[in-house]
Amino acid sequence: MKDSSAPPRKAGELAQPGCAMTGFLFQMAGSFPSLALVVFGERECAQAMPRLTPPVSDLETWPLFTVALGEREVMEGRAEGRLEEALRVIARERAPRGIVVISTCLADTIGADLEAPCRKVEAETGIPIRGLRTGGLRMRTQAEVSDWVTRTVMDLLPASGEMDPGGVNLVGYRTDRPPSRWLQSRVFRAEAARVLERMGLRLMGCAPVGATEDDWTRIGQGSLTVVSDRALFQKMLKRLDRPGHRVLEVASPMGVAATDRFWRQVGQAMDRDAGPAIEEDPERRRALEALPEVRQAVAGKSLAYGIGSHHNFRPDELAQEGMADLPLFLELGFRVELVIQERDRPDVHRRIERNLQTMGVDLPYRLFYEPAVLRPVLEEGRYDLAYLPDFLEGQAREAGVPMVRFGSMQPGWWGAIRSWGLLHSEGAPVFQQRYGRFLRAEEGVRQGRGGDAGGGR
Amino acid sequence: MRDPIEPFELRDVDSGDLFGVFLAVHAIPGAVMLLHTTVGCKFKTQLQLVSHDWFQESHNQRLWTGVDDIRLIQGSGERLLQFATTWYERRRPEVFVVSTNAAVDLSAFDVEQAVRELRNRLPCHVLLVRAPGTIGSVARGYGRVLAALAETLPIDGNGDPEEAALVGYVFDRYEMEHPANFAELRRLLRAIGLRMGATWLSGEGMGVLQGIARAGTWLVLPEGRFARAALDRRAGGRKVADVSLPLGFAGTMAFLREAGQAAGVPPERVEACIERELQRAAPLAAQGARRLADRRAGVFLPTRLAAAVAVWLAELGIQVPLVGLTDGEDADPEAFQAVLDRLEAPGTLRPELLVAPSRDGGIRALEREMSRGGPVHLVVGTSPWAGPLRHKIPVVELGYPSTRQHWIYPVPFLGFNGAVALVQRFVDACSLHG
Repeated sequence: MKDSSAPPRKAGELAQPGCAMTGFLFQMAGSFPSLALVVFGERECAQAMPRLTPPVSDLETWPLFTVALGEREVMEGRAEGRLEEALRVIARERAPRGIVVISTCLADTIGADLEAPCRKVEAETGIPIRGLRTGGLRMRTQAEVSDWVTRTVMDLLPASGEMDPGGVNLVGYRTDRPPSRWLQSRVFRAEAARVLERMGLRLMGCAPVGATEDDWTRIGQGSLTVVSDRALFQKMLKRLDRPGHRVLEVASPMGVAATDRFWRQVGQAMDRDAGPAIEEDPERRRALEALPEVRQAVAGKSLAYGIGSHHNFRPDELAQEGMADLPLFLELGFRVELVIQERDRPDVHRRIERNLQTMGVDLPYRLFYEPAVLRPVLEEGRYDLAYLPDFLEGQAREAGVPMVRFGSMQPGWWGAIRSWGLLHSEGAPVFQQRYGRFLRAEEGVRQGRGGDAGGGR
Repeated sequence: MRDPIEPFELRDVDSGDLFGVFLAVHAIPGAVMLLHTTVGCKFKTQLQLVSHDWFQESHNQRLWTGVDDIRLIQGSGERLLQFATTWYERRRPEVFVVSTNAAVDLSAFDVEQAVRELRNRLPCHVLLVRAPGTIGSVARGYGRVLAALAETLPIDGNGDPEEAALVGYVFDRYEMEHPANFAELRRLLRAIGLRMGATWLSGEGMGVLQGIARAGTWLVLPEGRFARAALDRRAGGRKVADVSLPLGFAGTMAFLREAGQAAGVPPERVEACIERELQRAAPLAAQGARRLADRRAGVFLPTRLAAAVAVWLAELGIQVPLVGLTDGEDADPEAFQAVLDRLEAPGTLRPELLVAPSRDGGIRALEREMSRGGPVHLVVGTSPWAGPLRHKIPVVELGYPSTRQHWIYPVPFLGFNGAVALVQRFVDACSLHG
């Protein structure tokens, strides 16, 4: 995908910038029950935690806290005292394995001392405490934040020191855990474990997507870390660096060919013949059988592939500047155009072109400068399908372009079959096909404002 | 006794004014929030509505001005001016609501000047509603937008004495419970001889909202209290009156009497209306009450909503041993009691009150209550309570956020019909758990 003359790349340049505090909340909430995360600022900032959706919404207790700075603490210079009090209480009442304190713009603006309270309570309690200047005054790429979160976690949850020569880690892939135990076998993790086992290898940690604390411990046992996008995890990978450990960068296994390629490269790196594990895999057989029909249905159709709008800090979606899922669409024969949320300025074009070149992507692109104006771009492109973040669905609907949610494509062979199911050639569901002409009102949500259905004014 | 960790735990909603301001903006098509804050505040506004409102996406009513450390040092007012001017041309909003956060408030002293300049430059309303972060609540932020809107009204005339406008309606999403509520309130007001005028807020644009001036009476619902002073200033010859939240039979009766009194409706007309309504609705509610009697419920809602719900539960014979007042710094036990007194709550209603509980603290209190007093069969609250209770106690979701309860079919929760619909929901929830 790359050549040696490619210009340097800064990961995350083609996504929205982010607030590091929010990034920590997004990535740590729900994943680390034995660590406490403390927001050093006003209570309102803790609301950035995505608390309304599982797994966070369903947690019996939330290991997240706020120092809840009030006006008096700010004006009277008592923020540090309040932080110290919070840390002491949290350490005593919850006894976490570690505490991460993330500061807000407010704490940074008033110049509150973050270090001293952390050091003091750490010395008193023996619980490791990391105070981080994460306020959003300094904008960072989501990639930077993601890397920061992972290395902080690794610092507090030390990885196992016993390396397994046949152990393989997967870093930066769509390795979500199944939503229920009935779907255990239907996730990429399960497929990866099966293929590795056929090669005489073992799956160790999968991180950071879907990682539990067990993953972070097991990640130390991997002798090979396979990473989706090295640029996203530079500092984290340094932490794993020790004698006998290797890093292999392989593009996400999206689609049949990319999955085959993925396992061949892993096998090669581990000095194993991946052939039998690949060729005899039952899911791969099913995928190969289904592929021609799917390809026939969609080949030649045009697809708008949206990047630049992501803001959920998920490394699997940030990988390759959001283009990690491209191979799945290209394999099916879609004519892909990128639609990028960016301003139409010469320096922006230079940045985009540099990134595309670095990643070996040669596709046309169009720009839209903010979500509200995507519709005309989609109309102009006359696309058959759009692959966009969920919040752009309204724009796609208004443009009359069927949309598949960004991030819904799944890796691996089983994942390919499942993903194809979302790309049905005719796109629109039966309901829309039959009653679509009545659905325009949905866009204007007139019925939500006291229209006829609710007894209009 | 409050656990020492509770002040540091998260609540069901930790938002302050900022989200309340955005909620109001979301309720006014044609309004755009200029988020003159640092980048993380994006997540404290529109993201909070994504799972709550299935009908209307919230992204396009918020524009972030791109404040960072460098712009703060250089002075962010100029940036705000340029940004708003450019975006006015692109979007042509009816109203810009400029909001700042704590960090910008502490360091950007040129924002007010920039807003004054914008008011001169742009042919739309420009409101400045700061969100300091260290103080405030969702209700306060929402109410402060109403107050700022009220300040844009001309002070003249008396309005039509037969038209009554509502102020302080919490229009938190474009789903069908709200049109159903409006239809019910319109029906009831018509029954006492009043025409329902503009409702602040109702998902209507500025043109409709400004129709409030036509009404001779402004009825201020509990969540309109932060706008009350501004309304008084702009009322001219109109009557402005606080009214009860029309939830449950008692709440609805109080609302109609207060509205009638404010608008000069003869009391006998109001009582006749109430009589007719109860003749129809009471037998229906009784079907549920018989089956719900002696069940036990917990309530976790903002103070005034919690009080109205608790009274209705108590009237149905449901015991309410525990109530969490979840509106943060607005949580107010005295206001809770005042609603109970005004609605003549049954004497059996003497719940333990949790003031601004954390979510985990509320769950712990519920568990204590269950070990002390027996099972709790039902919780009325918002979505964050439903997660940890999902295998234990059914949660009837009401208010913001309700991410597991959406209304595609219009079902009210206000008025007499809303009261009966709530009984239906309580019965359904309890039946599932025997």
